[in-house]
Amino acid sequence: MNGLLRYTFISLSISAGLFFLIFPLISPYKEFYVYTVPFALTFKIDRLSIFFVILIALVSIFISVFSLKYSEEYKEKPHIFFLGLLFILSMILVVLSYDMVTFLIFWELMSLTSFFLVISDGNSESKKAGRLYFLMTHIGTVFITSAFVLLYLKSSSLSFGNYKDIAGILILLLAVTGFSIKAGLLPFHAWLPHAHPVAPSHISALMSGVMVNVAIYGILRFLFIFGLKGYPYLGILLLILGALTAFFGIMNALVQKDIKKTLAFSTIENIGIIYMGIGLSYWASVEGYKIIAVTALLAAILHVLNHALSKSALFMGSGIILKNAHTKNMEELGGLSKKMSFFSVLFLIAAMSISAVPPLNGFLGEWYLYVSLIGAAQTHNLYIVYFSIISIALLSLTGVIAGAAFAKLYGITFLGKHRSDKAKNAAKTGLIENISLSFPVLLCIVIGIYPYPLISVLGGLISYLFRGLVSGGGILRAFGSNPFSALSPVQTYKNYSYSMYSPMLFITGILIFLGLAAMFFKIASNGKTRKYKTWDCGLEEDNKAAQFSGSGFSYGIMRVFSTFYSTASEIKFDTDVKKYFRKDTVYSEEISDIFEMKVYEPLKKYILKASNYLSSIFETENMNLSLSYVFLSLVLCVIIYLFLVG
Amino acid sequence: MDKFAELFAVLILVSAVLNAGSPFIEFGIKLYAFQSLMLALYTLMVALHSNTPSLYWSFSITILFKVITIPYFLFKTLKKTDIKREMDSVIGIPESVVLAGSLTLLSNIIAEKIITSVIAFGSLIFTISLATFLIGAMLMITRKTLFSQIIGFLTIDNAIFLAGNSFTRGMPLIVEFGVLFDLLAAVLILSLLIINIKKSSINKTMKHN
Amino acid sequence: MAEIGLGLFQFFLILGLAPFFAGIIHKLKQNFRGQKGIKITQFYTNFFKLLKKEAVISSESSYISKIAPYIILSVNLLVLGILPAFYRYPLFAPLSDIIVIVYALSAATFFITLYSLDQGSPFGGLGGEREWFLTMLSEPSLIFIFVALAIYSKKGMITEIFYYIQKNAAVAVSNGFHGHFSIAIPFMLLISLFILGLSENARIPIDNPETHLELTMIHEANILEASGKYLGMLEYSAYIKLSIFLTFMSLILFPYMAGNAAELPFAVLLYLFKMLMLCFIIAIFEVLNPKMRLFRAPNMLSVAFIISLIAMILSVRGV
Repeated sequence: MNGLLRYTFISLSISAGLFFLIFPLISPYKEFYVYTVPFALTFKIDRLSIFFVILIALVSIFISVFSLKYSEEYKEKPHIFFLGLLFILSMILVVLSYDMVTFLIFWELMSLTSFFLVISDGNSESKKAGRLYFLMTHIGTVFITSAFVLLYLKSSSLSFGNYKDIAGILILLLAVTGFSIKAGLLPFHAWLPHAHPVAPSHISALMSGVMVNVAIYGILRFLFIFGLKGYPYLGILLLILGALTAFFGIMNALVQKDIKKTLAFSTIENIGIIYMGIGLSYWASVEGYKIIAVTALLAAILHVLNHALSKSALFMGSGIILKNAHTKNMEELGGLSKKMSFFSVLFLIAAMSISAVPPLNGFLGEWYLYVSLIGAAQTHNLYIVYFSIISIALLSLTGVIAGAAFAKLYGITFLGKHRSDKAKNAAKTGLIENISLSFPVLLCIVIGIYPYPLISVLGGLISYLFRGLVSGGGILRAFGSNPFSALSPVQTYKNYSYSMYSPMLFITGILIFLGLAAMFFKIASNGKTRKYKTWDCGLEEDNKAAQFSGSGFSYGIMRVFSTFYSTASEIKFDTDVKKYFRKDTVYSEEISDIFEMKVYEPLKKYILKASNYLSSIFETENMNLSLSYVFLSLVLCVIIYLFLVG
Repeated sequence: MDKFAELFAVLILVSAVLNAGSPFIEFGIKLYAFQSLMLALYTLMVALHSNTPSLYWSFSITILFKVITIPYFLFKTLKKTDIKREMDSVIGIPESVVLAGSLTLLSNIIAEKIITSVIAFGSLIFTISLATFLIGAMLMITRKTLFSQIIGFLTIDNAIFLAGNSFTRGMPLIVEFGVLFDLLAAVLILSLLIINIKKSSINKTMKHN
Repeated sequence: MAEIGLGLFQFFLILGLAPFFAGIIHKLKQNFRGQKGIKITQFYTNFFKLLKKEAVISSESSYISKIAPYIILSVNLLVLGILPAFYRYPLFAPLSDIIVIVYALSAATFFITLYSLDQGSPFGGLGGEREWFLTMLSEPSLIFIFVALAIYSKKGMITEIFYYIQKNAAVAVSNGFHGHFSIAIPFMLLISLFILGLSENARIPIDNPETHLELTMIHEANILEASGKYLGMLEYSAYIKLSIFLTFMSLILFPYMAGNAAELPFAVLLYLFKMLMLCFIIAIFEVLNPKMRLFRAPNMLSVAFIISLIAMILSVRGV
C-alpha cells in the first residue's frame, strides 16, 4: 500500500514536471485565471517566469526520477512524497503567479511544505533545524508581505501588471531582505546549513537547487521590473554583500566533515556569486553602463542555471552515498570510487562544474562575472571601482577555495582506502540512480562546451528585464557561425577590447593534447605496469587511519583564516609512544558558524530578555486591561495604515 | 622623468608594505634605508623636473642623514642590545599586510576626492604619501617592540617629506634641515632609551595598557 | 598557414626547452654552492629513463591515478599553446583570455590534489593540502596581476596585452619617456609575479624541489606514488609550468614578439636571453635564501598580493 502511494506521488511529480516543462513552451506569454471561492488566482507566463518554470520543472523531473529508486529509504513514510509533490507544484506556481495574493499563497505553501519536509526525519537535529527554518522563513515572509502591501498602497491593484517601475527604495529594501532570507544571504544565512542537510536527500536537492532560485526570481522581479531605477547604492550593497557571502560560504564549506553540510554551505557561496551579478547589473543599469549590466546579469542567470543543475546532482549523489554507506560523514568514507565507478565519475564532473573548472558550465558564469567586474573597474566611478576590485579579490579567493573544498569532498569520500567498515560494505548504485544523475551532469557538460544557443535565449530574457533598453542578444552575439571561431565576445567598456572565451576551442585543445599525450606515451614508454601497495614507510602496520583525513586537508587554509572560524579542538592520546601510530588518539574538533555564535546567540538572548520584560509589564489578570491592549494595538495599526497611505 | 619619479614614489610605498610584511628588525632598518634612498631619488627627479636648485640640496642631505646616518645609528643600537630579531605584533603578518593594502585603497579614495593640483606629478604622490603615512602609523600601533615604533615613526617622517618635496617649490631648506636634525635627535634619544631600558632590565617589550 | 607553422615552432621550442630551463637553474644553484653539479641535460635523461621504467600503480588507486597525469599534462600544454612567448600569434590565440589562463592552471591543481589523495598515502594528502594552501594565497594575486595588466592596457587577451606593452615601450623609447605608458606598473607586477612563480613552482623559499623529505615537501609529496611514465608526465608538467611562469615574467620584463618570420630569429634570441637571465636570478635567489617555514609563506605571498593591488590601483587611475 505504502509502496503504491509512494510511486503514485512520484509519478505525479514527474508528470507535473513534464506538464510545466512543455506547457510554457507551447503557450508562452499568456495570462490565465483560476477562479476559486474568495478570489481569482492569476497566473501569467512572461519571459522571466518561463525561464524559472522550465528550470524548476526540469530539475524537479530529474529529482523525481531519482527518487523512484531512492524512495526505498522512506518506505514507511509515503507522505514525504506527497509533500514533495506539493512542494514542487507550489514552487512552480509561485513563479507563475501574477498577482500578489496568489504569489503569497504559494510562497507560504512552499515554505510550509518545505518545513514539514525538513522535520520529516523526526530526530532532534531536524527538529531544531526545522524550528530555526520556520522562524527565519516567516520573518522573510513578513518582509515580503510588507513590500507587497506597500506596493498595493501605491498602485491600489493586486496584479503584477500594475506594479511596473513604482517600487521605491523602501519597498526594494524590504523585498530584497525578505527574499535574501530565503536565499541565505550573509547575515540571514544561519538557517540554511541546518535545514538543507537534514531533509531527505532528494528534498535537499530540491531546496538547494531549486528553492533558492525562487528567491532569486523574486529579487529579479522586484529589482528589474517593479523597481524604480535610481538607487545605485543598492546595487553596490548587493555586490559587496554577495562577495562576502560567497567568501564566507565557501570558507565554511571547506571545513565541514558532513557531505551535505559542505554542499549546503556551497549553496550559500553560489547564492553570493549570483547576488554579485545581480547587484553589479542593477548598479550598471542605473548608471547607464549597458554592456556591464547585460554581462553581469547574464553571469547571474547562467549561474542560477549552473548551480541548479550541479547542486541538485551533488545532493542526489550525497543521497546515494548516504543510502549505500549509511553515513554522510566523509571521515568514515573513502575508496567509494572502486565500488561505484560510474557514479563517482558523474559526481566528479558535478563537483568540477561547481568549483568552476573550465570548460564546464560553472566556469562560464564566473567568467562573465569576472569580465563585467573588470569592466566596472574601468568606469572611473569612484566607488564601484574599489568595490569591484575588492569583489575580484574575494571572487578569486572563493574560486580557489571552492576548488579546495570540492577536491577535499571528492578526494576524501571517493579516493584512497576505506576509512571504515561502512565504506567497505557500501552497496552498489542502481541503474535508475545513475541515469537520473547523468541528466544534469550531461547538461552541465553541454552548457559548458556549447553555450551559444543558451546564451542567445538568455539574451532575450535579459533584454526583457531591461525593457528593451539594451538588446541582450545583440551584444552577446557570437562571432561568425563556425563554433570554433564563435567565441563569447564581450566588450565591457568603451575603450576596452573584447574579452573572449571559446569553450569549444578549449575542449578541442584539451582533447588534442590528451590524444597526443596518450599516443606519445603509448609508443615511447615501456607499457608495463605493476600493482603494488602504497608506500607505508616500511612499517608493518596496516592502518587505515594513516591516510590523510578531511580535517587535515583543510587545516592550512583554516589556520590562515582563523579569524573567520569559531573552533574548539581537543586532542587526547595515550603516552605510550613506542609505535609510530598511537593506539588511541582522539582528536575532536567542533567548528561552528561564527555568525551563529557571535550574532544569533546574543540576539536570541536579548530577544528573550526583552520579551520576558514586556510580558512582565503587560501580563495581567484584569480582563478590561487586556481588552484595552487589544484595542490600543488595533488603533495603532490604523494609525500606521493612515501614515503609510499618507 | 615623470615615469621614473612615479616608480620611485611607488617603491616608497612598496617598501612600507614590505615592512608591514616582515617581522625582522634588521630587514626593517635596511628597508628604511632603501625607502629613504627612493625618497632621495624622487627628490632628484622633482628637482630635474621643476628646475629647483634647493631640491638638489634636499637630495644630498636626505642621502646623508636618512640613508647613511640614521640607519647606522639604528644598527649600532641593535648590536648593543640583544633584542629578539623578530618583533611581536598585535595582529598577524598577513592581516597587517592586508590592512596596509586597505589603507592604500582608502588613501586613494581620499586623494581622488581632494583635488591636489599643487602637487608635482598629480594626486598619485598624495595617495602614496598618505598611504605610507597610514602604514607607518599602523606599524607603530600594531607592533610591540620599541624598535618597530622607531621604524614606524621614520616611515611617517618619510611620507611627510614625500608630500613636502612634491609641492612644486619644496620646503625651505632651513625647515628641512631643522626637521632632519630633530629626527636625528629623536633617533639618538630613542636609541639611548632602548639601551637604557635594556640595562635596567625592564621588560624589553612595551606594555600596552 | 605560416601563422600556424610559426605557432607550432614556438610551441615545440618551449616544450623542448622546458627541462633545459629547470636544469639550468639546478646546475647554477649547485655551482654557486661549490658543487660539481648535474649535467644541464640531466632532466631530459631523467625523463627518458622514466619512460623506460615500468609503472608501479598502487593497489588502492582508482581511475584517477591513470587519467590525472594525462589531464595535468594536457592542461599545461594548452596554457603553453596560449603563450605568445616570442611570436605574436600562438596556436590557441583565441583562448588567451586572462581569466581562462588562471582557471586552467587551477584546474591542473585540482587534478594534482585528487591524484595525491588517490592512493591513500599519508604523505599525498599532505602535499595536496599544502598545494591548495599555497594556491589559495597565490591565485588571487595572479588574477590581480592579469587584471591590472588588462586595465593598464585596456585589452582582455594576453596576446594583445603584451603587444600593447611592446608597442608602447617602443614609442616611449623613441620620444624620451613621455606619453601613455608606465614603468612602475610592470615593475611591480614583475616583483609580484616573481614571488608567485617561486611559490607556484615549488621553489625555495616556499618549497625545495631538491629534497625528498616527506614532512616538508609540497610538490614532491603530491607525486610521491607516481612512477614510470606517470612520474615522467607529472615531472614534465612541472617543467612546463615553470617555463610558463618564466615566460610570463620575460614578457612583462621586456616584451618583444615577432610579427612575422623575418623578425623571428632576433625574437627567439632575445627570448632565450631573457629566460636565461631569469633562470640566473632565480638560482641566485634560491641560493641566498633559506627555506621558510610553511606558515610563514602567507607573509611573503600577502606582500605579493598587496604589491599587485598597488599596481592595480595605479592602472585603474590611468597613466
